[in-house]
Amino acid sequence: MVAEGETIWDKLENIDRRILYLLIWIVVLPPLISPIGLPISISPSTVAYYEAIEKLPPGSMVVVSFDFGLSALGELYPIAVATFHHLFSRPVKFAIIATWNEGPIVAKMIIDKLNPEQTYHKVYGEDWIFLGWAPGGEQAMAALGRDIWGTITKDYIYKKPVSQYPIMQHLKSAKDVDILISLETGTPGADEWVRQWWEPYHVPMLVACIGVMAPTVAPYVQAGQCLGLLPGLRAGAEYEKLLGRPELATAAADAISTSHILVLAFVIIGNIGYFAKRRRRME
Amino acid sequence: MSDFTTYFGAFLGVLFTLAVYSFLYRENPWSRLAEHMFIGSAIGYGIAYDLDWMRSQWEGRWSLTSTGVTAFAFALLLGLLWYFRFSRKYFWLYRIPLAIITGTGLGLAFRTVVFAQLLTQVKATAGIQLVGVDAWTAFNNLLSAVMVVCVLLYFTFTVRQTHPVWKPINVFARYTMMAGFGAAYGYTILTRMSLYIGRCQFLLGVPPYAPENKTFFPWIALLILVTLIGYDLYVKSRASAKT
Amino acid sequence: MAWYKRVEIPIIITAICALIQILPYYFTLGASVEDFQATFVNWQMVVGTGATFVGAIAILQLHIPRIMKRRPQWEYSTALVAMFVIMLIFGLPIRELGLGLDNSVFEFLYGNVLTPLSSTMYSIIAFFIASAAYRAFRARSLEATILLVAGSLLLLKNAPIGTAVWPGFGTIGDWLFNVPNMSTQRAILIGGALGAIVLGVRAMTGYERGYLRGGGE
Repeated sequence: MVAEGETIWDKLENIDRRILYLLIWIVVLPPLISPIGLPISISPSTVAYYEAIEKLPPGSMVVVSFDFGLSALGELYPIAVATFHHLFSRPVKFAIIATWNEGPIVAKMIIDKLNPEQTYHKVYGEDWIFLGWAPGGEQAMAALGRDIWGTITKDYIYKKPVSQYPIMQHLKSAKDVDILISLETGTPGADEWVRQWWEPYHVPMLVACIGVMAPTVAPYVQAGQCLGLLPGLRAGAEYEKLLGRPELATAAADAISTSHILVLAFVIIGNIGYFAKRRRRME
Repeated sequence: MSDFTTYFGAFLGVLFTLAVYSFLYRENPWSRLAEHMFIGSAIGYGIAYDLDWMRSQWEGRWSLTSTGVTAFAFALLLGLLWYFRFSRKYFWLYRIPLAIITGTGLGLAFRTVVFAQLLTQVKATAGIQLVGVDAWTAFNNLLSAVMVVCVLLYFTFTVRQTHPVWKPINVFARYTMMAGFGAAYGYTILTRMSLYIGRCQFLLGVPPYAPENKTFFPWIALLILVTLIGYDLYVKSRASAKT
Repeated sequence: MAWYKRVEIPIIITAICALIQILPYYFTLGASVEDFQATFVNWQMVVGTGATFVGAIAILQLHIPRIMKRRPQWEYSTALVAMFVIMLIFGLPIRELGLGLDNSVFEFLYGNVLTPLSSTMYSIIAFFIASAAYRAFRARSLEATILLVAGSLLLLKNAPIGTAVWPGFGTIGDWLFNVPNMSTQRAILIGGALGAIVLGVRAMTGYERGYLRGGGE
């Protein structure tokens, strides 16, 4: 129904927000229930991230930092799961830390899901360790860079002194780290790691971040401070494809398509209404 | 986990997820409850983690030597000064721990920002590769350098930009920024939609989320919808009774 | 005003704490100074963690009177305070009493209350940003058109359907990301770094005092 004095163009420019919201539900839920399986092409930055882990020499020491909280679960959880699969399947050692206090929850969710002892025959404390969280953001990063044992004194799972674990005999400071993987959503994140671990110790860095943060990491990638970047869920789906393990990100790929096309349609409809009205005014 | 815990957990998870989304209809008791529960649980959670770290620091580091004990006690004493934030009379005491934290954070960032975020970035801009790469890469390298310089000049407010030479620089800088912010906008949409898709996967019980979620989803959605409409009618009837 | 209340004292403390971190980085002052510097960072983390209850007190100052005086929406405040107290008690690091981060009640609450609430709170922005795209994203000028076109191309790059229909969207999207976006962000980064350096010098010399007001006053 078009009210008196109101044209179709006015209508087109003023659709009720709740109709828009309903449309979002309508386009996102169906492809999650029955995925279409559209092909996903792999971008060079995803290949760089994959290759950086793939080419780590046996015995390399990796630190994975959870620089995000529950707010980014939808986008970073699938990427974190895929990264853990990749690390557990390689002959490398790694430690999990968190600079966001909700980070350990996500890390624990992943470990409970993967069950690395049985799935990958990786021994806790020898091949990998979950160190937990340190407060202070950038201060914690600086402290960890200098002295990991003194900053996180006990591990997260068994609450035993970290000095008792064999893996920690090879991991005392940032100098012992071959690569840092930051899973991040903001501050503290890549900016702070670049200041506290790349600059003083030249620890190579990989970043997997929410899409919003990706543009800010681009200068570090170009400058060689960051070896690889996974920007958002789409890149997560690409990474899962490279690993041959289609999981949550792949399941979300079709919904990413439909939701993006809907936003594009919103932009086009809004602009059609705007230009039609402007033309009428000019006439 | 017992069956009851699994089911109850799934029920709560779906209920709170949909309670937050009910805000899309309008502000209502469900969304208000969710908001308050979120704040309460997040604060409690944060403090628990802080205290856990404090205890592990005490046991694993500071309690091992007498100097450490003294230093830890002194740190705790200074930590107590934070609470003078709530006193007008003793507010000056609150500034002491604040100065320690700010000063250290400032020093840590300051010492490396010059190299990590200034000189390295300038070097990466100036050291563009034009030879030994294909023509397209060389063109992009050159273009990037020009773009960086123009955007930097655009924000140079210490010089009055009245000379005609500034005009093309500023126009080019604006176009560069708009194209750059367009890219950032595209990624913003990706993130927001991804977070929402993640919640939908939760509601539909897509593995690894609990399959029970899928069972609760339609029922709780219906419950919330019915109560929202009921609440709306109640508010309207009260408003009309008043008038 | 008594001398010990003067604002110059925290300014001096700020400068000293900053210099403790800066000087050993630029000058070789020996292992003992570097050890002291590292220990100092850990020590001030303990000082900082001492502030853990500040936020809670500020929140409770608002909600407790609301409950006591039965002001409008006191029921929600009760839920907030109850949730806070329960989380805190079960999460207290007293493992001897079965409490702490691995306590089953604490784990249940963060898994089934905090996790869905926190992740959903941020996901709701998807709706507002889509609505904003419809209402505000207009090609009103050449600059706005560039923004709109670049944004739309990135949408097509990020949507698998876009690159499936025409792989060129991926190439264009990558170019937008790696050239104009990278250049813009780099200029912002360089500008931000210069600003941080200036701010640091101003704070250490006492010209910047805003942080000492504690915010909100």
